[in-house]
Amino acid sequence: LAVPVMAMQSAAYQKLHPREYYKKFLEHGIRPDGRGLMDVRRTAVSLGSIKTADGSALAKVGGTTVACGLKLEVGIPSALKPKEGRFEVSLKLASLCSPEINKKSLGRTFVGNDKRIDAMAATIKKTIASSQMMNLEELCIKEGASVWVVYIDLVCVDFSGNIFDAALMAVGGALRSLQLPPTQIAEDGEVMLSREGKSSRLTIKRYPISISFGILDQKHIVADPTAEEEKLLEGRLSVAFTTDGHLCLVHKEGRESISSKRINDCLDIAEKYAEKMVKKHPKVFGFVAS
Amino acid sequence: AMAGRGRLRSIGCERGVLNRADGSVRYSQGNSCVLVCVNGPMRVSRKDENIHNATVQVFVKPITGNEDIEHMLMSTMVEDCLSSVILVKMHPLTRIQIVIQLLDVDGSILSCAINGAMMGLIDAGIQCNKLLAAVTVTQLDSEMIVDPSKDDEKRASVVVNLAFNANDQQIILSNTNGLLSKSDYHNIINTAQKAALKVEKFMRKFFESTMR
Repeated sequence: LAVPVMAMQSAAYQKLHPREYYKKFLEHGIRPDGRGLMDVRRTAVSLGSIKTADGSALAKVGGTTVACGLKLEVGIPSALKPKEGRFEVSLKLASLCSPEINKKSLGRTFVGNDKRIDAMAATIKKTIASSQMMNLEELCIKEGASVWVVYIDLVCVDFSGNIFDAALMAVGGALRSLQLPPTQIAEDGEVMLSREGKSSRLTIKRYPISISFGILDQKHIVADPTAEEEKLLEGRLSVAFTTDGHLCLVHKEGRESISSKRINDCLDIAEKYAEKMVKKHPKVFGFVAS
Repeated sequence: AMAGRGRLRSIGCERGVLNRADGSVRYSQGNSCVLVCVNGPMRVSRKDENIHNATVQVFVKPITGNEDIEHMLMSTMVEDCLSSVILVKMHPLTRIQIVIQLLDVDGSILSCAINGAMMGLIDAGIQCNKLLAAVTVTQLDSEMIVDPSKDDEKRASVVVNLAFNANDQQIILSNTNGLLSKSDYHNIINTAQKAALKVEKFMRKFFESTMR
């Protein structure tokens, strides 16, 4: 019969010439999973899933799932900023996230080394800092002596491409759920958890919401690439807008160059996406009168 | 800080500073200075090898201490920029190693590193298909400073690093810090493109006058 032969030819073509196979879809304005070029997969965010953490969230973009856990520790503030707390971001790909975790083929972005994962953690940290989403002075316990240090740990538990967007959403959700415990300071200056007093939450002014684009070549840019697409991409552009409409990240990496006009088109798409996300996840990114 | 508003700081360059390297350059923009050492194409280990292309490896070494995640981010950004210019298809199953030693950090360090690495590649004779020029721009209120010093960067509300393909002004790297608007970003790109042309002019003039 004609149909089984065609299916076998198509699968063989995908194996032998993955780029050409993929381009055939893009030329018709569609991708192998049926999405349009600029469609993002379904997102989901749930808060407070990890009870042992001081704040947590789980975020999904399509199949990619990133869990974020926050741990608070008492630290000494920097001499230049005695009233401000700190935060550190770390990102890890759990071994169970993908069957290809140890192979070089785990997405072009992570070929072979942990350097790219650390670089992504640094980008997430910079995005949080740039967006000015939280007031670090709320992390102060005693000016000049003790501040809270928030360790933001991200773990990808399921990898289907595009960790960055899921990770940023997870951090936003986790910070929203963060409870700062009440403290008292002993005579020797040591900070202890006190039994009276209420836990407080951080005032979060805005959330950064990102959308990552994959750059195949000069003509083809797709939004929210899957793992199979990431293997073929030569560049990535991550754009983050805050929920109140400011641009806080335009991060382009990768080999392929892109014109400033294309970047502007992506900025427009990212702006509309951020507005949409506020409406879609009001419990996470919307504002609650407190 | 002597950074001009729209002007780059003075650029300094010395090539062939390291005897044992295939290519080396000491490059400075104002007081920011890097020492770049380029080796390659050379042997590559099994886990890094690529049957189609040369593997480009960039290491950024801080002045003191160990590399932290900021340096990892800087090295991946430089690696991406250089991978787009080096003709990697000409040397499969090899690697090209670029080590960038930061000597003095006084602002615009990422663009200093990228420009220095580009000049190191030319000194090493590694075939490239285009010249790339990187520029850092800061913005405070509506005032832009090109090639800022450390103090300028601290005072600014927005710091943007950009790298351009010198032929067609396309963007190879973009990295922003701070809150800005879409039109701010657009203006910063235009300003940076003009400055990048000057960096490219310096590179061409330097190598034409020091052919050895």
